[in-house]
Amino acid sequence: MRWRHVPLVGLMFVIFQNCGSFEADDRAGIYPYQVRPDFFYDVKLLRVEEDELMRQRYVFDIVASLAEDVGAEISYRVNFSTLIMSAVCQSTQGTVRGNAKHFRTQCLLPVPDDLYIQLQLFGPQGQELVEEFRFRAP
Amino acid sequence: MGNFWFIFLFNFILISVENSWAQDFFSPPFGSFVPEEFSIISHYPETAFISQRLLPFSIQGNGEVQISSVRVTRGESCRGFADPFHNRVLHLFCRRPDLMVAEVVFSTGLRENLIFIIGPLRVMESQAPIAIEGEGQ
Repeated sequence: MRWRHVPLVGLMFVIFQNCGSFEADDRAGIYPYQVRPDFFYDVKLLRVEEDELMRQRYVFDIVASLAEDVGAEISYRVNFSTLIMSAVCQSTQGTVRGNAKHFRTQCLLPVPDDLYIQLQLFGPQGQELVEEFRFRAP
Repeated sequence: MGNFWFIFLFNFILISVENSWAQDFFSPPFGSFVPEEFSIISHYPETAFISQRLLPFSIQGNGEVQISSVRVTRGESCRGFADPFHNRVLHLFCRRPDLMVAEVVFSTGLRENLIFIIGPLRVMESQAPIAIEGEGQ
């Protein structure tokens, strides 16, 4: 007769296991890293401005940090290209540390097109990241 | 029939621990002691606190650290969670501009259920960086 409870216990077990996924749900669609990241970083398109010649200026807000050492100084380089043309704007490079981990950069495209950004980060222990982002023409 | 109620109540308690009201109930008392050698530091400067951006924070201090939970207590568009790869790191995120407060419960090798309160943090639509280092053409 004791075995009649087995399905009920099983059901409760399944329900409890489902509750364990709450934190994973919080991360879903927000956490961008598929493997253990050396760097935390974010490239955000703030706005696209159009001048009188119909050229488009993309303004980006970028931040980066070393995952294992908040205070570490890291070097960065930002390259701009389109599908058919590399170096459409001058690359931006420098170092990030302290309050200067947060910087802006921009690119003035001569003709409307999708813009590709390549973000390169270099850590003090030889860590390296190359990440590409595509921003569609408005 | 007694077994049924025992199993029901046992599972009810287990499930309740996952719920927020139960987390309040089981949380250590307000003002729980956090040793001075531990601190929480943002990876990004405050000017980088903008909506739709993952904001990482690290617990600093000697010894093992394990984050048990990250709970946003203010800011309805905001979420918080421990980093799945780095034991000492947690992330906060707001979908829209918001004022956020988060409660981080963590353990060290010697003590459990230590609490840090982060905030209130003002998360904006955008903020100008303190330094603008070089601009592309």
